[in-house]
Amino acid sequence: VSAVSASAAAVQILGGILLAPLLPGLVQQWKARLQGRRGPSALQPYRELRRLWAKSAIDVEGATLVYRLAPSLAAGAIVVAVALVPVASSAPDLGVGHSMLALGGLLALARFAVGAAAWDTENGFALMGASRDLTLAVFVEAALVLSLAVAGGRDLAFLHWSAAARHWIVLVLAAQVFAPHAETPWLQLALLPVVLVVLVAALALAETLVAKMRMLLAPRLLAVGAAAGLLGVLTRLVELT
Amino acid sequence: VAAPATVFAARYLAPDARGRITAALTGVFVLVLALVLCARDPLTFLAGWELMTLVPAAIILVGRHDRAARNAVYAYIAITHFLGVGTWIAVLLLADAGAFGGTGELEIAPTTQIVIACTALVGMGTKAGLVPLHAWLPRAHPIAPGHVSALMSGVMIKVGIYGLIRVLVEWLGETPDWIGVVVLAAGAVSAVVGVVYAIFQHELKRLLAFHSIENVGIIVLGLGACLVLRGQGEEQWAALALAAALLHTLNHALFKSLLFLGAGAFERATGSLEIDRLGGLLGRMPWTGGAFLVGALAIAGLPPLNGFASEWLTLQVLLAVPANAGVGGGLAGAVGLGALAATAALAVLCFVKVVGLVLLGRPRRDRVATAVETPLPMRGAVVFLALACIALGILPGLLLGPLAGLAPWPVDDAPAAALEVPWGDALPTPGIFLFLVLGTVLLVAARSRRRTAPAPTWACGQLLEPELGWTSAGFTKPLRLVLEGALRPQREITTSVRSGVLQEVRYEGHVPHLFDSAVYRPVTRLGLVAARHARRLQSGSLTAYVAYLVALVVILLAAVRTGLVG
Repeated sequence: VSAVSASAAAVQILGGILLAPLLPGLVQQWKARLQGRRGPSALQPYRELRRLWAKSAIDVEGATLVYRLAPSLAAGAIVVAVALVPVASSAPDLGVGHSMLALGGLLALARFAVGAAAWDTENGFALMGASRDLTLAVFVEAALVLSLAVAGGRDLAFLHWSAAARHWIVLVLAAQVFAPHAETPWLQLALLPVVLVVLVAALALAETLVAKMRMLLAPRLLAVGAAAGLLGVLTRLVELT
Repeated sequence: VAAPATVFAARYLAPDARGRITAALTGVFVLVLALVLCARDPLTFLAGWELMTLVPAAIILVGRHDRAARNAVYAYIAITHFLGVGTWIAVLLLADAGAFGGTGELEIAPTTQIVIACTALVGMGTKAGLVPLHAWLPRAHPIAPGHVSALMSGVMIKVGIYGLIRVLVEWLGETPDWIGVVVLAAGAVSAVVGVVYAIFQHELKRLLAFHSIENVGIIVLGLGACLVLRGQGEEQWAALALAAALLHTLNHALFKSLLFLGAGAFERATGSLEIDRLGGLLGRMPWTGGAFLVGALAIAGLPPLNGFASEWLTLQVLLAVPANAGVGGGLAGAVGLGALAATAALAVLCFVKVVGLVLLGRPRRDRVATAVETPLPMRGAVVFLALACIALGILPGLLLGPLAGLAPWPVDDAPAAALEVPWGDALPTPGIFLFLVLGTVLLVAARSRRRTAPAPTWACGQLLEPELGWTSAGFTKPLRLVLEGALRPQREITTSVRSGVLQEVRYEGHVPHLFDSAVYRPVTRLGLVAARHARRLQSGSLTAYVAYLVALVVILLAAVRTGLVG
């Protein structure tokens, strides 16, 4: 194992697990600044995680094993997903491969677990969230923050962390796709924080400029995105021939 | 699949005369299915093919006598026989070319080849349940007994797939590109249409029947990719695509029969399969419920189960299509890719709903609250199938080599536990399974380090009452609104006001099956009109019939004379 691939693995796992909550914190803080508010500190997600970790989990009366396992399963799936998304071209295979399609499957597994837990509690608000989350997922495998109204304590900490880690996964992926490709793996690793900060700033700006979108309009935007993707495939095909 | 289904049936069927007849017919059904697969001459094949259609119809009629069941069986036989003509034409033309004597590619004229491909696609596609030839499937499956539904969905429609693969991949050899594109398109349409309509079903077995259409679509996508890639000379990829189709065929047989057997057990325990009126069955029937949960995760295509492995492989071969095929084939591949991705996400939505309404939460009826676990043979059958789903999810690669080796052209394969495709992308299923289980166990341990506190569900101060419980229609409403333009849902709101006070609001809504009204009804009407005209021929007088016969003989003689036939 070379030094560069070992450090890439360290950045990937430690960054994914420890730095992930920083990203939504930064988005929140910068968004508040852009809107002329003071806003919470960028470390706020860590404080919330510490607070929730100190509390005991809650077992909803009448709920089954599925409810008790779901947050752990969702977080477990996201941990595997973090191990799967490479941060640099020399990132080692951690035993789970680098298949992007497998990533989609793992994110879907996390969604399934949370949606099933929502049914188990029979909480209308949780189900509303789950229903919308799953409908949007039909059009995009994107990270969507969804929190269960009823989960408490450590379970909720797992879910909060999972949501933050999904930010990490999607942003690292976006960095790989959109950022200029550096030559050496060391340069890639060094460039990663810069690109992540730029993307966080872009996210904060976009969330400020675009008013909250009506839930039912979002699929149209995503469908336009999908159509653009298809057009891209077509141009590439014509180019090849 | 047949073995667990028959073990299940041993206790599922009532020990009376009707149950015994059903059991005997089930045995016959299994033998007939085997007969079709082993047939080496066209006569046996066609005889088995027809029996395969008729035996389940007989089983359904033994069990059910009401008008609705008779109508459904009539529609089933009418559709499969009418469109099954395609199978006869294709098989007889193939027999003429000497297909059944051995294996391997045949020397066939291009026009005959196209005719065979099209008729086989219609005839065998009907049996497999391809859209728009699928209308019999959601009618016949729900009314059959649980284990027969499992056999029909798990094996019978796979026989249709088997026929298609034998004809298109093996006997016809290299077909023109557009046939591959047509097969791809049929697969994409079946997958999306099947899953979208499944989401809006309220009856568990009908929902599962629509999912069979979806999964046949996924299988046919793999088959189409195989044909397109082969036309481009990418034999390695084509063999992999064939393996993807076959792997999904096997996986679907496992989890779909598991789900149908589970549905049969729930029906036995609770008396009805209206999914809005079940609930809490995981607690009442832990073994059957747990196995059903595994089946639901598998059919939703979630790692680390078998459905995910074969959908991953199908996605990979579809990714290879735009890279290796021309513009037309490439575009079809890209569309198929998008369709498969959307299908997978829709299946997750659908099975979250099914699991939530059937297994989780509180019982929504008194009879559900007192449901009891099934006897050992029924339980054992579903648990066995669930274990098979998990095992194939962890080690799908063991089957990949042999399945790819079934292609009629030479391929080099290396056996491995994980899935791997030539351009380096791999799915290390054992690794993912191990990490997933390990991570979850560690987190559960961390969670239970602290004592958990019991509490009722908190819904922002609102009381949780059964009347306020979420239903299937409510959960799928966002999707219904998004797809309103394509699905044309109908709804009706009636309010009754008495002396100025609103007394009652009734809301009714459903998603009509557009294929029934837009495609099948005009055809049926046309058929009835034609029958009215044809009736005039039946005068009942002997001399008229003799005249018809003489006319026929004269026409045939004239045709032979001019060299049209013979």
